Amino acid sequence: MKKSTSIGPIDMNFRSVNDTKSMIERDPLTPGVNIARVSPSPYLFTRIQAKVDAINEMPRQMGWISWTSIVVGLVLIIFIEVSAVRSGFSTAKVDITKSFSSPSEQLY
Amino acid sequence: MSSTLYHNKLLNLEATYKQFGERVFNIALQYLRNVEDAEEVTQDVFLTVYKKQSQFEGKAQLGTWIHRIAVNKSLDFIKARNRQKRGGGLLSYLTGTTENVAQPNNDMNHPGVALEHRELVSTWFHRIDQLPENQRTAIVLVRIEEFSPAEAAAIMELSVKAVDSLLQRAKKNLIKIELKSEGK
Repeated sequence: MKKSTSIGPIDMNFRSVNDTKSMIERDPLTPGVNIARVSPSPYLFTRIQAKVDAINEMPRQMGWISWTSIVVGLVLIIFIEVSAVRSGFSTAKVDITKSFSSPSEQLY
Repeated sequence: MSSTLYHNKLLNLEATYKQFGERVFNIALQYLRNVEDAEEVTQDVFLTVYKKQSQFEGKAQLGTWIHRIAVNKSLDFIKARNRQKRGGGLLSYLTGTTENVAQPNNDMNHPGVALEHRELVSTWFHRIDQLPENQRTAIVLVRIEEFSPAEAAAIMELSVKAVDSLLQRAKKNLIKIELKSEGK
């Protein structure tokens, strides 16, 4: 049986070269170890594309909403005015029927 | 301008992302040391590129412009996080609660660093964080991302000489920071 050979006392304080050198001895502008390039998640572009699609979709939605609100507003104004004329509260009706007795009355 | 990146003067976002996405993500990762945050910044960078493509005048290369946006967005993200921390701190002081307070991002989640080197690199990054913004950017671009000084100068809108000067000052400052941390 082959006898194992001693390689001498084991240095218990052994540390890697990077650890033993201080920042002053080595280049302080690098960490002393490799920082590998990392790939982002394969779904990242899908998320970006979804956001871009949402941005493109927004003006169309906004246009639809604004046209709807204009139409609804106009219909509401016409409805209120027609109701007012029918019930006798229309401002137009008052102006037409009112007769002033004196010029001072017109001011007040 | 590359014809594959543009179609009828409109930016082909997918081709642009394929060409620059990984680099942008890695730049953000070197600043933030957190995968989720770096992905958020990358997303923000490409949305900005898409929205502001008409503002790209073609004076610089497209890559330089995109990388500049990546640097600025990363620095903005850090500032916003710090503001959140300060605001959160004030809020907790006023209300006497500790809820909704942004915790400091001390845990390094950088998959590019081997586990056995994580402590060493974390310490190094902690020292880098104490440098002024432009010195930090010079280190990230030239020493970590391995842009040439000329490329880094274009991204930072500085001269090559100015970038070299920033690196020299960063070196001196890092030595000072290390000596201070060792109590010498």
